Amino acid sequence: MIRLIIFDFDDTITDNFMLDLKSFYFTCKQFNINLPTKNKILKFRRNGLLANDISKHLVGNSKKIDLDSFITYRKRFLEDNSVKYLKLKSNIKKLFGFIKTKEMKIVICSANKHKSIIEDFLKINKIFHNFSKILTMDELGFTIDNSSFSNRVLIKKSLLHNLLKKFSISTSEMVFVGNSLEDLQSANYFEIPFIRFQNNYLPLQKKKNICTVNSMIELRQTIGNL
Amino acid sequence: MVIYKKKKILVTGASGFIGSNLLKSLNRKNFLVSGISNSHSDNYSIKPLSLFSKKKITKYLHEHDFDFVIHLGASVEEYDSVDILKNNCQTTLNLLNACVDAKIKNFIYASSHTVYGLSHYLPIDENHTLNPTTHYSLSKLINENFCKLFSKHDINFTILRISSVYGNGQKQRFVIPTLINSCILQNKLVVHKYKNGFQIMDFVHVDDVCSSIELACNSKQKFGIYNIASGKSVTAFQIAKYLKDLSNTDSIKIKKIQKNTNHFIYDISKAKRELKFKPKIRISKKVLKPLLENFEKHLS
Repeated sequence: MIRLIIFDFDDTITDNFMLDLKSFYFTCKQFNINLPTKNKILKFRRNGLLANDISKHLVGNSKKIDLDSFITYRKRFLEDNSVKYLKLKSNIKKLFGFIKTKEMKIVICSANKHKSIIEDFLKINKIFHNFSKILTMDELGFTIDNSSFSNRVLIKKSLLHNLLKKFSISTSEMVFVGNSLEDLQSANYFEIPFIRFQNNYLPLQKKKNICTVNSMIELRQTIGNL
Repeated sequence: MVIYKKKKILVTGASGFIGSNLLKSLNRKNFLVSGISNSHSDNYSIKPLSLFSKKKITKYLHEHDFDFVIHLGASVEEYDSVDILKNNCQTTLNLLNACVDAKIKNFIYASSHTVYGLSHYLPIDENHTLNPTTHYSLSKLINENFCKLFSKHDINFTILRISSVYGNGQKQRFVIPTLINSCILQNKLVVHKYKNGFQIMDFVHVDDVCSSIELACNSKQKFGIYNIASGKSVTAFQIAKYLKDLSNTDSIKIKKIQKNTNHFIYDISKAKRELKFKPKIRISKKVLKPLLENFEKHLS
């Protein structure tokens, strides 16, 4: 029986595309770089490019622009504007209502957002009350300066490790719902069953033996069958 | 009137950074403390005695009837070499055999946080996988295993996995003395920024390490392993910012390193629970100020 569901935040509960697009748009504007189109960013993301790779591409060979400053500016933009541009995925409120009827606890686990941002977002969207715990990089001492992609698996694993210590629930009674490889790796490390939420603007990574869902309705059905 | 017998303690590596601080601290606390060291010391209370000589160390232990042996002695050469492994393991093995011979009842071993190697999760607890990456850290892990092996004898073992230590009198090649040194002598602060950001570290003050060792002397456990750290994270960049505020240094230079680094913070809840260990000192401007002043005093 499942007693706890762990949700990744970015691109699992939320739709990050608008935030992603705006962050590149306004950063390019700040550095006087040609503004990227929606299709261009979409194409980069679908090809599996990470934010730093996209930044490199946008900065190009310009010697006048320091790539690090570009990346840092974009990170600050993300910090300041997440609540404004993040969108809640459709049907998620219904899903949380359904999970509550099953008396399962819900936890959020995020490797690259500050707790205050997540809390504000959840409160604005009136879903804050659904969560038993919000686990973020803050509790490990990580900041936006070292929440780089290569740290995310370590952060996620650490948060899951702390969660396992806090809740006396066996890993077979939990499910991790995430969208990325770092989510999968972290869940696998502790042998927590994993459900992959496929995003429509990220590359389709078909992996054998991974339960994949494409919508909240599908996720609800999958959870209902557990 | 009840007269309590003072506890007799032997400290190996007594002229080292932790050893010399521990000697002062234990002397203040009404213990009968003896220190031995392989290297020369100006401190007349430290006896030069090599742990390579099994005979001499056995004789010494028999003569003094110690209640506790605190083993801090280890080679920490600048360049990692197989000699460190040989030296540290051989000397520990000699000491352990001598302890069995002299019927020593309590042995405290100063191991190192480096036995964990690459961190898989944070904060690292005592159950984290052990994967030493240097000869030094491997020697620490082998010595922990020697202790485990010798626990079948009538000796209580406490192993302390000590995190990065700082405080007065530390040699310069470590992070904090290096920053202080360059801050004063060259008027510049250089910190490394890795591909995965500033390294997250866990520094523990030498006074807190000494208090953890004293607490370990009260432990009734037959065999226990504990992380000794602050349990709080800090980066070299944060330390540099404190030093910049305390000194006349103009700016902090960030040197980019094109590789990832290993982040570490330690879970000290076991030591808190079982040893009643509570770190009292946290890195701050207030704590760094006397270190900076002492360094300046030494220069003048």
